[in-house]
Amino acid sequence: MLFQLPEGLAEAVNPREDLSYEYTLFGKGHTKVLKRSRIRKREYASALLFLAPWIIGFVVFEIGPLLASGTISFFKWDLIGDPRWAGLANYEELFTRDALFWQSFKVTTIYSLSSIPLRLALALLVALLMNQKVPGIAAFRTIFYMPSVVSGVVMAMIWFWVFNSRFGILNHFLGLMGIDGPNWLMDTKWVMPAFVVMSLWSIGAPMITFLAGLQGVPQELYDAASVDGAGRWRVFWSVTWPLLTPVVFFNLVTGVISSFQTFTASYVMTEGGPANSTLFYVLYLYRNAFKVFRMGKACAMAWILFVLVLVLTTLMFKSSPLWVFYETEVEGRR
Amino acid sequence: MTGKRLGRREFLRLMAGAAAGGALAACTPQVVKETVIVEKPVKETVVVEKPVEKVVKETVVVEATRAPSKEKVTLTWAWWGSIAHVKGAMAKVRPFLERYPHAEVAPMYMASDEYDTKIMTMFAGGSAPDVIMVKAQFAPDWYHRGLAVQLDPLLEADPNADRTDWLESLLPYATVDGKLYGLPYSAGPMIWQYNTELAAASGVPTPLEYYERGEWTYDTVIDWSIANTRAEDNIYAWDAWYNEDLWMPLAWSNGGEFFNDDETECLVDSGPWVDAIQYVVDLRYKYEVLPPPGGSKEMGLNFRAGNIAAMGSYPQQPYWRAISMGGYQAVQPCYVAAGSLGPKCLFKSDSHCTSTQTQDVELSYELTKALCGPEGERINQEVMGYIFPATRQNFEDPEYKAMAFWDQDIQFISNEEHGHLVPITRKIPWAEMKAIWRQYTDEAWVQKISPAECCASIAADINTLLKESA
Repeated sequence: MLFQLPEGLAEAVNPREDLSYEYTLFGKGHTKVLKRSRIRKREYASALLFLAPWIIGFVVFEIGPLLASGTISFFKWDLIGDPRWAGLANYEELFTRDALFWQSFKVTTIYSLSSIPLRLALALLVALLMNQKVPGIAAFRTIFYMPSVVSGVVMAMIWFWVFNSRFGILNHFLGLMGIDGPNWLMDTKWVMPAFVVMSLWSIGAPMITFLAGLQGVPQELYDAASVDGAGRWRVFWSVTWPLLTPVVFFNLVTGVISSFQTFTASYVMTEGGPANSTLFYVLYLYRNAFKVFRMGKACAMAWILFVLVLVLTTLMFKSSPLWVFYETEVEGRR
Repeated sequence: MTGKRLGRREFLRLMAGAAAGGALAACTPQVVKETVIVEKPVKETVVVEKPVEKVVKETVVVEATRAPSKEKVTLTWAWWGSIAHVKGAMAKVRPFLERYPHAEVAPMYMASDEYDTKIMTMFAGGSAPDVIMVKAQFAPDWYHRGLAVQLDPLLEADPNADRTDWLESLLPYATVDGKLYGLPYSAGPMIWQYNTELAAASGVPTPLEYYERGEWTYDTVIDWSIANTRAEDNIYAWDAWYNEDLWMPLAWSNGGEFFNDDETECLVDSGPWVDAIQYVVDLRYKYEVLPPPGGSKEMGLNFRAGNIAAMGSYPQQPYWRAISMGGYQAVQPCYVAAGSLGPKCLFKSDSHCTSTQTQDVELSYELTKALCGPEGERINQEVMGYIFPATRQNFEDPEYKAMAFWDQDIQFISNEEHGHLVPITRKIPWAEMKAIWRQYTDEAWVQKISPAECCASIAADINTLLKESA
């Protein structure tokens, strides 16, 4: 039902004189729906048109497969034959009867807990170094960033030979120092440290974001701290670090997400061995999907990973007000 | 058309609309309608006169769809290998191309590691190749799933071929429930190969000498291994024992069976299997003739570098030396050591099949036959210098027997009693069984679990899968 508001009220509610509004009232709740003007409608239509290619691609290539995998997780399907309804059997098998599922979860968690702090710390340290005004600093930044653009397979093959117990350069240099290097990739005690060391090689991306963050710190804050007589550590802890926490938070979230998706290195270098000590979660998921063709189980694993990463990310976001400081906040850091 | 100009917004809106339309068109399934002139199905009555031993004339009605002779057909042929194989492979295809001028063959060669993954996903996507090489271990599973055309009717209708053209001992690799789905392509027994230079320097008889005296047993293997190990120089007798191709024969030659007769129970939890794994563990930790666990990636490298004295493989001797070993000459094959059953030699055979998604069944069958038949084997020998006789004709030819890698192998692959290298069952995919035994043997090799626990776990998991598949 359409009606016109009294003129004065209309003006009070609608300050823009170039737009006219019509109001409708529906039902008992008196829900008012603004029917927008023709210009606003055209603008929305244009926006949707421009967004359409991305929306179509997103729906077809992201949402569609996402929903399909969720559905498949409730079936037993070997890719060739007909899917058979399994209900929660795939999930039940993973949680109660699959020792390798828990092994892969344990391996991935240990790797994440070890590599993420080290990566962030090293990236920050290198960024602090790269933030110096010295001749040739651009070349150094390029050198430190370059490993990040090397493909995962190439990187894995390089490190496979670096860690080779007989021909690798790492054990060669250790030997020069009188140390008998271990069989890095074939010893269950050393293979995970080897993977963590390898992960430190590609700190280029977090380093660049840290560098951007460092360069965003206003110089006058450093000047003020210097005038107040603050030492280097005090300056870092009281000026640099608080303003860097948003970048740290970003790198932490992206680091957690990517560490739980580690696949290439273990696939290329160790195939999950020795004795499943590098059986990462996604590698085990891949095996279930494309080696033994248990698509339902693999899809269930994918959704468990999705929920897990979602929970972890949510927890990190919930914790951020405690330690992340944004310049736009009225209140400072506790 | 009016004199109205196209504004910037209108232009951009039109472009966005065109892009959206393009994206929509790209996302829609491609429905390609082709007009194909196809002859009506032909019912033929074929009278096949068999050789002397078969006196029955069979009348076989064959219903087939054929493409017209002038229509160009491109058959895709998938096989695993390396670029080095292409020359020999395409040479085998040449006679087929001469016989069928309207046909083209597009080879799809790919690495061995992900071959099964690629083929299965191609089947799932409806784009499977026309002719496919099938590894022995995948054959029961793939053929059972209906990925291949049954070849019996085609063979029976073919006046130029018969299933007896291939070695009887190899047919089980291409047969499911008595029906033939593939043609045996190559056969090879599992053997060991040793470095003749290192062996000569060890001061003990070589494995071949032990074998010829009838003394090549597991005890003499240990003696020979100790003599050929110099850990201080980083030289060990063996490497890559962790590959099942090497420890499984140890169990088989001592009477171990993987399944019971009707494949309802896995028998790995038994003496010969536990002993086989214990033997490998002892080689590593008790006798120290194996290096620390290393992946198979290093095996060939270690052998060529003279760091290991022997390794297991298949007897493609000239090929192995030329391609895999970089021309390395100090290689001599010998047999796997004899267990309590004597020198039981295990073999396997890959096969080729015509896929159920082929565009032309008969043409693909002809290509399959060309690749697997005696003519193809002889061409391979001429071009590549090696032969894997899977056909009876070449197998019985003295000239080709002599050329066949190592003539002493002939007696083994012709005799089914010597056993199949891979456990043949269609009830569980081989990849799933392999994942299970790898999981537990990996833990046994690093002494995380005992050989008995390892075998018990393998048997338990496989028996669980057998129950589920029933």
